Amino acid sequence: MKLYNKFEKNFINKGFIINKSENPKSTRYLSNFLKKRLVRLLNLKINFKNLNLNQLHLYVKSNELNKIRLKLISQINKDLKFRRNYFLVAKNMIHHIVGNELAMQININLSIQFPNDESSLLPIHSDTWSGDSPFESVLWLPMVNCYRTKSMFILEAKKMDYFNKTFSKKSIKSVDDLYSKFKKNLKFIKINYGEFLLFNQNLPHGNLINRTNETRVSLNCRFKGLFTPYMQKDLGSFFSPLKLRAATKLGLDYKLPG
Amino acid sequence: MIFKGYISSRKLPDGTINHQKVQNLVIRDACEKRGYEFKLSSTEYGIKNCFLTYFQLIKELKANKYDGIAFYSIAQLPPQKKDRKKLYELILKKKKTALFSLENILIKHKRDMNKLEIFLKLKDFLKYSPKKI
Repeated sequence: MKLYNKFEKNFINKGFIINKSENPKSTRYLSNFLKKRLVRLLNLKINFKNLNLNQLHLYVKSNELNKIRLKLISQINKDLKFRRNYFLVAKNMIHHIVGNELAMQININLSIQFPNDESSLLPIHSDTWSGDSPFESVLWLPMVNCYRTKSMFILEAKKMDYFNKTFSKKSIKSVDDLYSKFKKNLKFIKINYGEFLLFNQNLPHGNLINRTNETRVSLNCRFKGLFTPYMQKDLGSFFSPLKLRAATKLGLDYKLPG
Repeated sequence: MIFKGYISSRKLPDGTINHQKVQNLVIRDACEKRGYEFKLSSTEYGIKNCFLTYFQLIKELKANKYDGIAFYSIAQLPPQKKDRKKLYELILKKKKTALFSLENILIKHKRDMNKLEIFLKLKDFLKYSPKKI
């Protein structure tokens, strides 16, 4: 019996997959949505198509960034088409890696990282360390080209044994210390707009201060098998059902006669 | 005054666990009532007996990144007194503050810390008290 196809083997061995968007129209929808809303929120007198997200730091003050980000997140999550298009960017790959009866995170997240901004850092972590189920995968979509510190880092899957051994020695003093110990083993993801990253969130990952001169704008959302175990982030409060198959529907409705 | 939130992702020693969203709401409310600015929380890792985030926050407090730490509850404090002492000493030395949002306890001075230690002991001993009347 052949258990895994080439995508699955790659995902297991490497911890992530980068591919071209399966649906460029959907990627465009997401990008245009963000640009349109930003032009409106910032009261810019330009056509949204001319807004270069790489240069967003030129239009927004650092101390206003979080307010703008929260407003955008709220608008993103009110738009059902946004959610649908988000999934369509990597639908087939998600089916390969996660399954075809799915739960999707209720709120899609938006990250905006200005050059040299210290306020939106996500130190090294694995989502499972803070209440996520190990059955989840993250679909990460760059709205600009990401590289080096403008991107996120991840520990390669093959280094996980070494990580666990070192961690259990209990010599690590703080989160910064944890990062320093594994710095050499972390890989910054190079990914362009129009591609998607699907990664194993059990692997330690995070970001650093963006030391490039461009802004990073990216989206992330978690997917999991509908019937796989949930941890604190459960069905209803954090995830919602995305796809149920006919046999499941029949099973859920079934009652023994009598 | 800027307060950095500190929430938990594992069961607290008293056996309780609350959604992170709820923990953040409790902290936000406690900060608002005292007129403090709430800075998005850091989450303690769910790994048993792990206090890496706690020590990270102490490090950042020492570096004057904020004026205080807003805990969700006193039950998040590490069980070892020497680890709690690191926070107390820093508060006294750098004139910082810790807020325990659920219990509405603020520690700033030595006397606050002594009271808190007694409170922690009481909470710990309560596990031996009868639960039914």
